[in-house]
Amino acid sequence: MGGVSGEPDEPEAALGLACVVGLGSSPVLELLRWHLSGDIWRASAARLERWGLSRPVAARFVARRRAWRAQPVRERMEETGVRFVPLSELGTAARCLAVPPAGAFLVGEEETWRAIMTRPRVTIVGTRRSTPYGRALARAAAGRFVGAGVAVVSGLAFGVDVEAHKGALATGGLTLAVLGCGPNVTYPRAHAAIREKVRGQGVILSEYPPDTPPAPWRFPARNRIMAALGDAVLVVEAGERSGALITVDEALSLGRSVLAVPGPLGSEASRGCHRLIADGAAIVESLDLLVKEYACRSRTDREGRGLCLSPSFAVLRGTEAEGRSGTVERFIQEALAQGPCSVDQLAQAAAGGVREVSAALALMELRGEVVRAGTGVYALNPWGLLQSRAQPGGKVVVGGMAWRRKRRSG
Amino acid sequence: MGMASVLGFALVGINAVPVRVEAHVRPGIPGMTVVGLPDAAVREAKERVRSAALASGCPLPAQRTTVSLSPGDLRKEGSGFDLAVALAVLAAAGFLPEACLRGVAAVGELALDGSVRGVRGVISMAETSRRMGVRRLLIPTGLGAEAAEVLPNAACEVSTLRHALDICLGKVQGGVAPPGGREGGSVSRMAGAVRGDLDLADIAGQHQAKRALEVAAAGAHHLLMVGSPGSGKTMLARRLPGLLTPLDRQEALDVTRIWSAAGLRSESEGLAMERPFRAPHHTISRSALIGGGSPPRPGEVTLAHRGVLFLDEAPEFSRDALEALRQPLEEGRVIVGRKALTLEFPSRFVLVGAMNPCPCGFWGHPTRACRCSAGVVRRYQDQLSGPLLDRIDLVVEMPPLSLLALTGREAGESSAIVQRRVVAARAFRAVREQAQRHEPAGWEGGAGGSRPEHHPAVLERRYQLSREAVELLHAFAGSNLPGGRTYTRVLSVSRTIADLDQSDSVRCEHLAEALALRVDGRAMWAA
Repeated sequence: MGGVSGEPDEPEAALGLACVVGLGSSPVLELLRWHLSGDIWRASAARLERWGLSRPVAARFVARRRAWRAQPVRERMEETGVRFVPLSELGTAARCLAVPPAGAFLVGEEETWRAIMTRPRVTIVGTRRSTPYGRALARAAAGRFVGAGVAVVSGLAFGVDVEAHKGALATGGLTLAVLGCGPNVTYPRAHAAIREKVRGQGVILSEYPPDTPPAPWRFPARNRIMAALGDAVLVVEAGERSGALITVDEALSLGRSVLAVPGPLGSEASRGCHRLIADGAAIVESLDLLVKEYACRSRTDREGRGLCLSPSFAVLRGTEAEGRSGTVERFIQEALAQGPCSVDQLAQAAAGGVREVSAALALMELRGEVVRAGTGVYALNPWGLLQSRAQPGGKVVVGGMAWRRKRRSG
Repeated sequence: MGMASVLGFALVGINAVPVRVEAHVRPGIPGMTVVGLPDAAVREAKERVRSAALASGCPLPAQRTTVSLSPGDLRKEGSGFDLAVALAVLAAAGFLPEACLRGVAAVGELALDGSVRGVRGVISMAETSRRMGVRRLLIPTGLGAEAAEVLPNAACEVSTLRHALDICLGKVQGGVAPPGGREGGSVSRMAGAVRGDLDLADIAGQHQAKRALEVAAAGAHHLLMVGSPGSGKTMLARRLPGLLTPLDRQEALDVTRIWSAAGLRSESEGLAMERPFRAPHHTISRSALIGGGSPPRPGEVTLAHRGVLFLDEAPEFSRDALEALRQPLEEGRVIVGRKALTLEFPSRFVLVGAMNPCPCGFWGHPTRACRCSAGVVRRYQDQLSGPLLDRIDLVVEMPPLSLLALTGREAGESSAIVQRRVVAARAFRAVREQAQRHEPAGWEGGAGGSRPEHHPAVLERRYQLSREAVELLHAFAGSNLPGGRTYTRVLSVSRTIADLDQSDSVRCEHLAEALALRVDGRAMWAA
């Protein structure tokens, strides 16, 4: 971690590096840990060898460097609306990676990018083969983080990734998608619509130049950047060999905290999470504590970025329509905390009518927050592993249903 | 000597079938024979006719008299043919020109002194008369109001056989004007048809159940109430007819026809004005519930047509009876087959079931201990789970009321107010469906309209779910894995709730409320 941190990289040289060595010459990128991109770009083959590159690698790099022309790349970036930022703008952690990226190609508003980089960030990862539980949770967690002013970083992949983006978008928060292909390439295709939304409200980022097609080996590489961009990593669901665990490894090697969400016992999709917890990852016991946990464990404070930790702030955010039913739900939660109540009792105590109360109770029951405790009587879910509130726009978060249902009918 | 004929009616199920009553008087050994599959009551008509004729001053001649009831293969029953037989015989005997009976139909039982007594099913007979172009329908006194509803100018009340003869001879003017002398004005007359003594405001608390009742009324949804003894289930159910839309004319005719055919109406009532409420005891037999007997008579489900069928202590009904409810609940009619004939009875009703959560009634009660074992509770609740539960749209659990809630109560809404909302919701629905160019799904039928199509895509389009509601629905579907029936029922209930809100689209809150009232086949209602 040499004396380079703090000094800006030369954008032109970084762009050249990104285009020339992005295609696999990772030993060159490793030099970025100790040297500025301008120095690498201008270094002679002999100097590169002195810095540790083998002769063929150095020779190949020099040859490619000579052949490379900035003009076509610039033009293509212009056409596709892609910008380039050098490594020095990706935060200090990016340079600490074993193989730092030369920089990043971005799609999205300049201001949004700045906003994201000045905020605390969390990386939410998980399996693509997620369960409804995991998806709902990813969404809810993203919402909570956004509520506390944290930007959500994820990978726009199927499953947990895309739900995290959705959760952030729905709450009106900032989100950053890190791709394993060119920033202008839509992959997976099914996510074209959500991709557009991310571009509008957040930023899409990639290490690879425009038009780079997706390739299997690019995704593990992309995971390291996700790890570097988040101040902590939240693993929502991960199988035993999930790619999400690569992100976790990278994050750990950067000294980032890892938070893992436990899953239902026996769920294949949560094995990786359980392993992480057994290995000492922070366990997420409730969404209410999630942001606090994150704050305690992430390095945001040291980097001087503010984090809004007032829980009421997280609750009060959201659209107006949601605000209303949210109030009823909060009221119900408070009332039920005193003991089980019937719908009528709740309606009487609340300003709202029986309609609002029973509708709110239905949603809360669906989410597992309340249970029926007698004929027409509701109580707080005593097994409430997850307690989350509705997402704006009436989205419902559901969790831990299978065994809870069993419990009720048993 | 003479031959004459007049029209009579046989009641088959709830419909009247025209029967030509022919009489032939000829020389021979004095006596009267009735042919054409008469039952005992019809065969006995000859004694009543002989005495009544004598009392009317027209002694029957001492000649051979044959009375034939045609069609000859239809079994005739009851005493309603007396008047027709008497008129035909008297005409054949020469007391009355045969031409006077042309276009005349007559029903009524004769007393020995010649007075005419009431019979069942007069309104059906009047309808058949109208179809056949009958010029004059003679009916017993007191039933004119009923008959006049469909046959305003041709129905004549007759008090005695003599009176009937005089009308036929043209000596006396007959004809009954419909009550109020209006056509199709029944609805306005019935607008205030809420039973004054059964008002929703009488019931303390149970606001959720009241709301469920309102939704049930607005959408003709079948409802199940689960609650401990004393929570007000029966009281609420009794008030449902008063929340349904007032009977329109067609519905009133339907109800009157059924009740008249069943002999359950008192005389001089005219059209039915209130929706029926039937609460059969749980020991009822299957055929009494859905109709039966030989010849088949309408059962409770038919008597509840256009109204409410209330099954108190629903799990106590025999499995057989509950199973038999499938067809009426699904199709709005029952088909009763007997050896001689197969009949179809209408049975569109709103089913209201009430049950305790367990045999002792205190499962899930906050203060009383339940003494039923879990197995007993499950078996009790499983009684309903199969045939009936599948067809119930709404379930509401009713917590027991504390004495405090009973005494310190705020005045709830009255039935009239709720009914106004229900009427508005139905009107809104009719307009909406018209706009959607959909079949107005049986709503002209009122209570218990036909079941809509069940395909989810159709439902989502037809019910116009908002985007958020679709997401909520998916969340529900994803988490609870509801059966297809649960899914569609939740949808249709949410549509009704949206209609009550006069909302074009089904929004999240509507769907959520429907979810709160859903039936999801859980075995244990409480806990």
